[in-house]
Amino acid sequence: MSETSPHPAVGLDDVTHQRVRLGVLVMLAEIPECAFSTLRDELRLSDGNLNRHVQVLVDAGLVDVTKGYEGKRARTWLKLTQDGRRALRAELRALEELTARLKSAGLAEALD
Amino acid sequence: MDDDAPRSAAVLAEMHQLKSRSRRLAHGGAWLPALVLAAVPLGSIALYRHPFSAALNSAQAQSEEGVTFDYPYWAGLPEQQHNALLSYAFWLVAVALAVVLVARWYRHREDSRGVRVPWRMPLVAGGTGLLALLALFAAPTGTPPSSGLDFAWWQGLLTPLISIALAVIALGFAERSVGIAAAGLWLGGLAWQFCATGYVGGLLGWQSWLLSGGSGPALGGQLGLGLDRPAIALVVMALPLVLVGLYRAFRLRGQLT
Repeated sequence: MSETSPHPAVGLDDVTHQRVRLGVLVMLAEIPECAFSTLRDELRLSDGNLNRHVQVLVDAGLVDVTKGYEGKRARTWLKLTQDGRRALRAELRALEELTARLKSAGLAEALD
Repeated sequence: MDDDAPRSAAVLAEMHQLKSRSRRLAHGGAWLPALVLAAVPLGSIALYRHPFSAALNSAQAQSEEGVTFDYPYWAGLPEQQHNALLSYAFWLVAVALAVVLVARWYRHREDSRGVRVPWRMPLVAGGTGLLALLALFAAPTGTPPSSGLDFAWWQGLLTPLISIALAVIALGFAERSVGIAAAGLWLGGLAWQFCATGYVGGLLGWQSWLLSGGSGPALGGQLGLGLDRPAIALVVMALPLVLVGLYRAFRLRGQLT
């Protein structure tokens, strides 16, 4: 890596870098539409905790929320937006660059 | 800043696991629609008078006066059928039943698993196929060409099998499955070819030329190996879809136990 290129951590975004929010984005990238309760169970979170993180993603325009009824039961569906897909790709790329940097640093230390 | 690096490796590994789990959760239900859509063309084997023999080549058929396979091919393939009305009713009922069954399945998965794929896409394709079936009434009728040279591409579209193939391709897109989409292309491609040439197992000119080692005229022909029989041909056409459906079902079962 050249000395002039910015450190990969610069590419990390506070909104997407948070572990739970990143998990939500990863799940929604694979599941076209996912129920709030399914996300909560898969990520092992409480309703309130997940709700707080989802709100951050909605405010950033990365996730769309649809509320509806199935029979008499209220259900909230979440969907990734195009911006959300782009943000997730950028975050994962930055994480991969960081990991690659670690590996190359480890290799250099071993050679020394 | 390099303190982020070890953490990033752990987060990446965790996200890869979550991605695989989410994919299984989202697309774990594809096996049933795949098998239901495969069952429809397989069920249509019962529509043929001689499902396990090539009526066109059989001595009995040749001795019968006026044995023709007019298009549109109501049974699906250009072969002798029991009754055109029965064939038509079969597709109308079987496709509608398949659409209802698949819709109920996806609804059930939405309720029980809380995941939703764009499942209306294959149903719209199947429904459009049903409408196209109605439009087949207005299609021109006639006897297919007697050789590969007279092949007409549009006759290949005059079969209900095309609507099933479209539904399968749409299912592949909805479930993000290359295997299912490829199985739909295989089914639709063979249905189109056999109906366009007017023979079950009919070959296009260039295919017969290739199979003869690149020599002789490209006049078309008919495949042997049982592929000139409607039952065998339909099994071969639906086989990739059955295999993909079974593979997905067994893989899911393995993950659940």
